[in-house]
Amino acid sequence: MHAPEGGDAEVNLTPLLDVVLQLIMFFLITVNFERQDRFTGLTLPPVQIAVPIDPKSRNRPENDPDNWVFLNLTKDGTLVIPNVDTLNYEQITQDTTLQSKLEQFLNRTRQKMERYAKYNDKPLDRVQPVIVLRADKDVRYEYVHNILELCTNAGFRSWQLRVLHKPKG
Amino acid sequence: MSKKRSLSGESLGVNLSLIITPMLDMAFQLMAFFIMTFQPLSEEKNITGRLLPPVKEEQKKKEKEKKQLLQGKNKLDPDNLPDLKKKEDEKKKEEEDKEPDAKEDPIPKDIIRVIVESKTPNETDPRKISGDPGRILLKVPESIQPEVIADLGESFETALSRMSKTLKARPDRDNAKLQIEVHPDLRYQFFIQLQDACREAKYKEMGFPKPYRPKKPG
Repeated sequence: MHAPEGGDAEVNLTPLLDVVLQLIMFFLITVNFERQDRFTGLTLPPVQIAVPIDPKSRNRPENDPDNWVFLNLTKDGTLVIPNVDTLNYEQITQDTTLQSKLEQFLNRTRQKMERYAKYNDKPLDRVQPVIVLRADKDVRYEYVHNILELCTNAGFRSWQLRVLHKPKG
Repeated sequence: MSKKRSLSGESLGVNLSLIITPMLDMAFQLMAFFIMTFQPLSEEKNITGRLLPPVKEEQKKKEKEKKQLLQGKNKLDPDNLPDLKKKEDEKKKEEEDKEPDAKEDPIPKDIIRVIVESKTPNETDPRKISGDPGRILLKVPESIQPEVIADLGESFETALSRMSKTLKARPDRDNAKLQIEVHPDLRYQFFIQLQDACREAKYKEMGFPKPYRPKKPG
């Protein structure tokens, strides 16, 4: 092999470009901008026995994501809920207004679900809201029970507690 | 585009007339952006459950049933109205006159109670952190006093495994109702671990009453 004249090294850029574009495609496809319903400012508790969310059993109303109502509870007991109309979070502290604000939010969410079901020609008996509670691992149990009790009083009795799976051993 | 060839005849690549340096720069910029903002979602799992209807609804139902019964009886025999009212008043008086020990226990006797206390910040020991679990007690239907499963010095995991073994060994596991009573200051992660241990013992019915604050002695 002869060295090129003048000492110029020419790099073949085609495979490099291919790899770069492959990487860009990967990140474009997997990008997940902040999901409105999952507030990231809390740490879920680790648990061993917890059921994974099975996407195949979506026939059951409690496993239908359209029926999920996300409530996020931070370490200091503040309830963070996604606003029904805008894309912002609302924060409700544990005070006397909690019950009324939570009931208002739950009723508006139920109405939105029913409107969505009518629009998609879905039977109304499939609209069975399920409270999905994502609570920080260090929040006091009293606050968690308070939220579940308020939801029960508002007519929402099915719930899911979201946790992180911790393998045994 | 033209191909360059060396003197030996090997291809040295393509001589592009396009300047691709800025394009490569942008490609690397985009890649850096997506690498920095990539956030893999942690896999979340769930524990499902269903709560009983609120106490007020049950009371309203009972009151409605009572009214319907009274109305039904009144329709059949309107002359007996004052007699029915008298009987109700007599029953109320009997209940009030009962001694406290003889009154019905609000907690049914066939329930197994798991009681978890919590360390509060008022205690003098600096090692005790608010929200950490304290003693774990188990009250079974056949015993009068709750049994201490774990004391303050033991680790929570050891206590839970001991409690789980005790619960698994019970013969009435398939039919018994389990009630988890937890101090309100207990941190949520300990409650979840406790519930995890109870589920491992495969009790079908579990209840979570409202957390109570035990009264301070004296």
